[in-house]
Amino acid sequence: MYRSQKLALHYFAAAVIFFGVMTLFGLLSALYYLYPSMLFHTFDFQMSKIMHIDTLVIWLLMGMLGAVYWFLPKELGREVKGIWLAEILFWVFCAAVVVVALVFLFVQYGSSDQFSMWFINQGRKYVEAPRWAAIGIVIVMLVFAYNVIGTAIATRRMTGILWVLCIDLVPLCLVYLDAFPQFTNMSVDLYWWWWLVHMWVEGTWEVLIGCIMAWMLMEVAGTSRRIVETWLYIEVMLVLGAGILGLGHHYFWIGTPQYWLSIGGFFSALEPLPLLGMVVHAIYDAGTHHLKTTNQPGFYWITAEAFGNFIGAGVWGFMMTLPQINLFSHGTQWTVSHGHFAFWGAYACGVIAVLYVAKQKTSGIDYLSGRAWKWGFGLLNFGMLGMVMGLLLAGMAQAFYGRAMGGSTLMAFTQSSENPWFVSGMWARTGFGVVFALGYIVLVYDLVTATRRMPKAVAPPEPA
Amino acid sequence: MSIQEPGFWRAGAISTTAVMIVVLIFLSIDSIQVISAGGANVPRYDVINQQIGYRYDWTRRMDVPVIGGPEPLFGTVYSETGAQALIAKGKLVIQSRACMDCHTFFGNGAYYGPDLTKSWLDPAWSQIWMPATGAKTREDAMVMFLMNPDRYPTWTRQMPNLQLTREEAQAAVAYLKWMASVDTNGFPANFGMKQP
Amino acid sequence: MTPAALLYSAGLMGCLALAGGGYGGLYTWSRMRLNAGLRYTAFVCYGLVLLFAVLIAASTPLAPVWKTLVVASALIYALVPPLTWRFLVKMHEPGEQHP
Ligand code: HEC
Ligand code: HEM
Ligand code: HEM
Ligand SMILES: [Fe+2]
Repeated sequence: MYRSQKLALHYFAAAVIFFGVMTLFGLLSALYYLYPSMLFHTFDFQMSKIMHIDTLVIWLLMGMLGAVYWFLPKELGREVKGIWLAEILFWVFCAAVVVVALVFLFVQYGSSDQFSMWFINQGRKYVEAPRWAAIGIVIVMLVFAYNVIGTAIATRRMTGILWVLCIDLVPLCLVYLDAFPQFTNMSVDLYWWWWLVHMWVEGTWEVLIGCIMAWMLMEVAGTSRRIVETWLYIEVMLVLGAGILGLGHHYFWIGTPQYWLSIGGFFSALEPLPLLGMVVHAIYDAGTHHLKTTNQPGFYWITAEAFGNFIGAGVWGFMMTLPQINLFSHGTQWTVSHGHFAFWGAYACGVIAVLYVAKQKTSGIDYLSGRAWKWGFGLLNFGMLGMVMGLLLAGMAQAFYGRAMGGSTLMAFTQSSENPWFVSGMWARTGFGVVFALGYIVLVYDLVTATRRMPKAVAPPEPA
Repeated sequence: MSIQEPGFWRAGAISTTAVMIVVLIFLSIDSIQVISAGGANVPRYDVINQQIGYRYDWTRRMDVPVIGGPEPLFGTVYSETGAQALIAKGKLVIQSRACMDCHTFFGNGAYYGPDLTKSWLDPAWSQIWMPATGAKTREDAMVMFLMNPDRYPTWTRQMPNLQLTREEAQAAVAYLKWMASVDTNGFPANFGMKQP
Repeated sequence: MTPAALLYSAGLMGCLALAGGGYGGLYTWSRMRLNAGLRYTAFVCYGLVLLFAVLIAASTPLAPVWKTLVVASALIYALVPPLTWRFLVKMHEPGEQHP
């Protein structure tokens, strides 16, 4: 095994741990809605939400970095350039995350000065981490970019997937610089902030996971390189063709000119198309291989990724992306419903699929299956589905009573939050969150023990 | 080149992306002008010396902010630089306390607390908090609330005391007043005009 | 937009996208499996796409541009899965074999 792949395993382990931390703080955040006086003045909602969404970004990023470190040396047939630096940085990265988490847990916030921005809490959603830590992430990403590009240069070989990856890393790192400035003007702040958030999840990350899934399809389904690369180009064309100006769906209400209502509505309405393309391709590949695979869980999680991405991002996004609807759904639990479903479908499922593939390869097992992974798969997806349905219900109640009827005042907000539909939605979300958390436990159990429980060499069963 | 060739789609991906990026850059140059303080949609910071309203505009078919006559904040008329400094402080207060991880600004953030876009215009100040705090003006009630939110709760979900000093609370109030003057294409709709 | 119309319109938009996904997915699957029943279900999904598009155009307060966009894309979309299928088959021809 290459050193780069050993490093990947470290990244995977860290990702799984932070996935657990995220789930824990998700459950805690959900509880405030049911027991509002919980931990009052000790650890308030905002800190719990910060822990939840920041660890979300961290574990997905770690999972995807791991995936690239996993596939890269195989792609080029050589050890990754500068791997020692990446190995050191992994530990620096983990240590930095832990320090930031401790500051969030115990210091929580500072006073209104630049010191707080540098060392405590920047208070900008998803990028709350203080600036010193943001610099750390930039360094990790730069070394990662150097590893990828440097290795390609050293082998004097470029594949289509690698071209896409290398070019994608440039904007991916560039928009992250958005984590530093401290704008006075909220409109300007949010304008650039969305370049980071939207351009990550609906642009550069989508391309990155596209590259990873291309490698996965070659690995799990044995699809030929020419096909995955052609398909990757098509996906990139459609995703970026719609997604770059689709950014406009966040520029409806932040002070930006009215033309964004048309541009954002139009281009983001096209965004589901490439996501559907992935579903079609997944079905095609599954069909060509008669659903025959040596890695059952990996295969199922890839399928879940394709469907989840389309439904969570595509359908849930499409529902509320026209400005006339978004005027009311904007900034409610409806948004949360879409956020969960989309992140889950597009990225979490993909990362989990990679975990299973790496698991199989490291232990040299010919055929990976069993019973536990099915429980993990079922509980996680069922839990997530239940959560997003509860959130959708709550969000619709908020849009209906709080925004459209009540006019978004404090009074309207409190009354819609006491509405039985909203309250039931919050309970459902929490209950299904527990189901989800159980699924997480089974997933970890399976990832740790699956290969021990599987016989070393067994022929895969014939297709059904 | 045939459509089965990867090269065809590679060219397509590059050119489509390039065109979109160029369009986005031009739109961004225009948008940043419109949303800079003093731009078409976002008033200068010294707008806090004036009255701010929010009314339905029949030609645009949406709610728009209305900037009225003088209405000094905390009895002070701020110079342009004074207002700028105060608002800058307000933004630092908002970031340092992570208000955005409980509240939304222009609908962005977290959903545990109410949206603050038009909070300055919220009838709750005169109907609930002015009586509760005994303050004579809306801005004084806001300052008292922000300094001790745990003392004046209106319902079960409470805002914690975030240790704001008086200066910090005043800066945050100025920020909220300025924010209410931003033209947000009608978000939130019907603010304060309907009773639930 | 009235509160009821809001949920109605958003619901229709969601259903439209889901039905579109159903048509695309089932059509591909039916061609894989050479299964007429599945193909039939796929076309039922496309029928739903048209139905939802018509309902959006006829009974929601969305602006005319959005209605035009919805109806036009629903019509054009009829061709997308078959064309994608043809493309996928062609793309796979030289290398792999499909059943
Ligand atoms: C822990 C979550 C939390 C944090 C952090 C928080 N708030 Fe609040 N805020 C609330 C809640 C809950 C309410 C509703 C309180 C009530 O009605 O009793 C509220 C109410 C308000 C209101 C009244 C809104 C209206 O329109 O009537 C304002 C203004 C406000 N907060 C400003 C701020 C500012 C400024 C900050 C940051 C310095 C902040 N909040 C931080 C939870 C929070
Ligand atoms: C046990 C499971 C989970 C629970 C109970 C949970 C709960 C929550 C809660 C309460 C919030 C705050 C929303 C608000 O501001 O009101 C939140 C935000 C968020 N969560 Fe989770 N979560 C869980 C799992 C996940 C997973 C698995 C993902 C992604 C893969 C995720 C992604 C997000 C995102 C993106 C946000 C921000 C959404 C927004 O503010 O619009 N969560 N979650
Ligand atoms: C991988 C894909 C996607 C992910 C991970 C994702 C995630 C998210 C998240 C987390 C938010 C909340 C942002 C915040 O306020 O913090 C959001 C908002 C939004 N997304 Fe997506 N999304 C994806 C794709 C899409 C697509 C394809 C569409 C449209 C068809 C869409 C439409 C929207 C809209 C309209 C909002 C604004 C919600 C509001 O007004 O509050 N998203 N998305
Ligand atoms: Fe977006």
